[in-house]
Amino acid sequence: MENKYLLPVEDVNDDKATITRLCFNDGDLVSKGDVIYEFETTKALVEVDAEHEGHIFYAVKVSKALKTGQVVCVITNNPNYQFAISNNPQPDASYMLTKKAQAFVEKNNLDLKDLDLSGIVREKDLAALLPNGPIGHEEHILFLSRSRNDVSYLLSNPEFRKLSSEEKIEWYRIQGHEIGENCKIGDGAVLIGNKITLGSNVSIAEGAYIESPEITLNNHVTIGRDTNLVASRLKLGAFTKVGDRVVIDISGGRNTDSSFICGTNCLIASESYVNVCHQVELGDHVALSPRSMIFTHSYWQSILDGYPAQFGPVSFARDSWLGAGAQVLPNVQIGEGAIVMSGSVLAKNVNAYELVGGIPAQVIKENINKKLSPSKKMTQLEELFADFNTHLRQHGFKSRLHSARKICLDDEGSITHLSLSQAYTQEDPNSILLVLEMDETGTSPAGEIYAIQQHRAYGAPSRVGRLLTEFLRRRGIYFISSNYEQAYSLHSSTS
Amino acid sequence: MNASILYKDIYKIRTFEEKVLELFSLGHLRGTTHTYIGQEANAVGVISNLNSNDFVVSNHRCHGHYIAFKKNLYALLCELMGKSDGVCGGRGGSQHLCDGTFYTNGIQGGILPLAAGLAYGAKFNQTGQIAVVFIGDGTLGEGVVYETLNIASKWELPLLVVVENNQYAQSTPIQLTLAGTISKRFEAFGINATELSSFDVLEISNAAKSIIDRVRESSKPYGLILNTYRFASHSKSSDGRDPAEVESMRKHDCLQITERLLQESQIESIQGIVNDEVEKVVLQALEA
Amino acid sequence: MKFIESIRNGLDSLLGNYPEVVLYGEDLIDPYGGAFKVTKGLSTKYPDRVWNTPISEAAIIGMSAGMAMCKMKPIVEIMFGDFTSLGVDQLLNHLTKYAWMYNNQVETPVTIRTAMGGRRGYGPTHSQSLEALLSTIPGLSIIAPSHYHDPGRILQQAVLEDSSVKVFSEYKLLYPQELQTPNTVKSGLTLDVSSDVYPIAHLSNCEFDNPEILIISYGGNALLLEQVLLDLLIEYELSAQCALPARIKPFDPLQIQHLISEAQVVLVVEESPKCHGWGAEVVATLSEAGLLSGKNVFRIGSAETPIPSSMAQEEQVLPSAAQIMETISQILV
Ligand SMILES: Cc1ncc(C[n+]2csc(CCOP(=O)(O)OP(=O)(O)O)c2C)c(N)n1
Ligand SMILES: [Mg+2]
Repeated sequence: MENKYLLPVEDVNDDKATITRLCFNDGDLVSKGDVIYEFETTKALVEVDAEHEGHIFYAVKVSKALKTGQVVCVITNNPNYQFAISNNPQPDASYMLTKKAQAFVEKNNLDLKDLDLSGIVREKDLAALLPNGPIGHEEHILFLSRSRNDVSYLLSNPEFRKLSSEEKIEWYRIQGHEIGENCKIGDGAVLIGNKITLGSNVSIAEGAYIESPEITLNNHVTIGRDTNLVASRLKLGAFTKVGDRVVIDISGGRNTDSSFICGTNCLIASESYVNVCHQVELGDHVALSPRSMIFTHSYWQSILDGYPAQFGPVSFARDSWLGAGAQVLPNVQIGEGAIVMSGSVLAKNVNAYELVGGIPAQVIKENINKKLSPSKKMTQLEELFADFNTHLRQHGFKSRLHSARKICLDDEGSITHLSLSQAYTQEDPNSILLVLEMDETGTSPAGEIYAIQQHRAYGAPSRVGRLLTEFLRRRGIYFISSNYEQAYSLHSSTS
Repeated sequence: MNASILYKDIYKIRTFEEKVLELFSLGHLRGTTHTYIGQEANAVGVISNLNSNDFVVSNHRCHGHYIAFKKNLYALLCELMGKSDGVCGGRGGSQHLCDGTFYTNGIQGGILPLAAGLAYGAKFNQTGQIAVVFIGDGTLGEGVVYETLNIASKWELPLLVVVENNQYAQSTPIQLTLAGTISKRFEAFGINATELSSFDVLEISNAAKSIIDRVRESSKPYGLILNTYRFASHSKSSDGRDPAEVESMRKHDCLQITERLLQESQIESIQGIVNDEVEKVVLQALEA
Repeated sequence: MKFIESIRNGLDSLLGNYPEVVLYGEDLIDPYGGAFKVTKGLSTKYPDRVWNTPISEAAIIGMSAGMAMCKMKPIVEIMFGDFTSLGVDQLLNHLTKYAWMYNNQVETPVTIRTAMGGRRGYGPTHSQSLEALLSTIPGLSIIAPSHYHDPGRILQQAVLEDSSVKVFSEYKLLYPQELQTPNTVKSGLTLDVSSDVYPIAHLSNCEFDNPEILIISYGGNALLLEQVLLDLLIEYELSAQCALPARIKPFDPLQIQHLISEAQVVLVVEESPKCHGWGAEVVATLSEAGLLSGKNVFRIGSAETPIPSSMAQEEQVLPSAAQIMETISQILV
């Protein structure tokens, strides 16, 4: 049996009172009529008597201001009574973070201990406190730092473009930019930025012009001839290929958001145009076909003449594809795996796995993809594999289907094995690999690996390798040629 | 009090009210109007004893009170006609008059607090004014009357409450609505009251004089119950009373009773003056 | 200073400086000092001009008109706002009519002070906020300050300089609240009080006058809304501003139209029923001026039931911070 004593309302207007005296210790036995505590309202000191007998336990401390109706104490016959919930749940913190600020702290791993915070702290308050907080950072990525010698040098000196690839790379490295191994910057090509980071095997073709305060081109990115890329931030993920005479610009105005962010394995085909006055973002494995156009602003006329202003980002989720000559208008989001038919004009969002087309684009079909099980995929590949065997023989190879997943062939005396296998890679536990292995004698070229679902080929392609990729391309499986030199040497050798 | 002076006011009210009914029938007035025909001796008898700065608060049937107190026929008629020369610029009309310390309102009983408040103000400012409020017998059904009587008694306000008991509230005879007596109502609140059944303006005036003096001197409220009768219908609507009853009451016409106190020549001269005035006022008001 | 003290001081200074001011109502003399203790001490200090009345709301409201016509400045206390209904005939057919109906030959500068609002457990007939009901009476001014105003000063101003008939609504829960100034507002909030005769208090969780959320409300609702502003800030960093006019009738919402341009959500909050409420009037006026097109507009008020005595049930019937947060977050989050 526990008897709760709540702080009573003593005065009409008081919603609080202060406890001035607690007359016992926790656990003490009290009798009816004992004065158990005293409180003070704005008007008077009031003593409260026990109405029960038993052990008393106080839920509050002296001089604590309490709201009327809150528990002051309990009289119970349980000598070991414990209060379930504290009466004062709020610790007296001198500052409080908004939810956004909390997320910011976590994201940036901030230690708030030494920061002089008080009151309610917003995300922007924290950002401003940081030496390299996002505000400074944004300014940094927003504008080229003209005070930097290298930038003004590059902008004002056409001689630079005449340097060889090696000389240019050397120069960038001296200026503190990061350029990975095996990169190539073709004749007349130039990169202008405050912070340039190139991964390995990045290849920039002749006449390309890349200008952005922050340029990041990851491993195996290739940039085509006479391509012009200008943005507030430019980031291309590994194995992304940008074709010839592509234009990315910031007409419509420069913004903190005027960035072009592209995932891995993307294709931006020749003569595409992307306006990045607002952010344009491509997820992994997105393709923009030739002459695609993406706009992040529209209307030339002034709002003062009654025209609407329209600015907004555009985004493509992974695996989506924009058909040739299609146009995308501001504020459009394209869902995962969606297809936009050639020549369409896209003014509205596209849901994942939708096929849309027309002017303006309408939904033509939903759920266009099929989720195939790994075993089904293997069966399909085995059929292709058998066809490839035939294909090889037609090209004069002596080849033989050793098993459903293995071809043995004799390439001018060297024995090569081509095998299809399911493998566990870091990227995908269900990866399917086609492996061209050197023969036991060790005279054949180094092995080649084709990761089918990653669209990626590893190793310098042999004659058989080239035949294989060409064959599979026509069956709907492609591999990204990862290196400019390869791409162009292949190009020239087939023409 | 001089009978000829009182007669002049009674005759003025009578003539004016008859003219009002005529103008109504001719379409010069709109809305409604409650004439005072038959009750003139009450207003004249009471108000003739007031100072000009005393407060008079009246009700829907207020023309008589106004004429007895303010005498401005032209301003009253213009008000009835909705003209800008009216006492309230045509905003109030028949039941809502204000002129100096004279106020009326058309909500039964609601004027009592106003009158009590004015009495309070007079007492507070020590001006020596008193407030007189006129109500009908039917208005005794309103609760706010008793709230006010209670307060006026308790706070000793110089307030005279005149109940003009004309036996009817609109169409309803007093027997159907009034429990107990009127005088007991005052008594219950410790307010002295005098009840008078008279159509003689001199008698009313004399009674009113001593009461008004007492109110002023004692600064206490007082009740004056005047049993009376109206000859015209309640307002512009039809009269549901038995015509024989109305006819039988004509012998109590205060106008004739007062005439008996005067000489023929006096009467003629007063009537001539008043008729001229009313005619002039009507012409003026019609043109205003 | 507390809200109640500010009003008491205001009354004290009125009585002290102006012999024509009188203060009366039910149970307001010492030692009791009024049901909410607002007038405590005043009857002792001014025994001739502060007095108790019988329980006669109609009569005491009505009498104030007569006093006012005698050049007095009466202040009537009606114990609970709910009881003003007993005096509505006097307000509607008498007090607010006289000046106009008598062609401005009289003035009735009367102030009716009364305690409004719920959240005290007083139940259906002692918890209402009748401002909206009373606001339908033409010519009646309704003043309902919050603790972000200076209620005592506003009261003095109203009594001395405003010749209209005024209902001065005091929200019960505000009485013990400390008055807030720009320097004392809770961290995260800013306060800006306009310099109008009846000021508009702008309480905001951002520095700028173009909030994403504009809330228009008055009086004791400020208690709820300060919480909402903080919640919006902490949960979502949404900018919100709350405009609290000290006088809600007449109130021209176009006075705050500059705050609306950027707002995506416009919210009016009142504790009386939303149906036919004050908020409806505010929204209609803004809408007629073409200021609300394309905005999300909400009225938040009480349910169309009496106000329950039980705290839990009362919470359901009266507007709550949670309800407001939900309304906003459905649109903006
Ligand atoms: C509050 C209110 N209810 C009803 C009326 C309608 N009304 C006007 S006069 C009247 C009768 C009043 O009777 P009484 O008080 O005896 O005055 P009398 O007309 O006999 O002079 C009524 C019912 C009104 N004006 N006010
Ligand atoms: Mg009658």
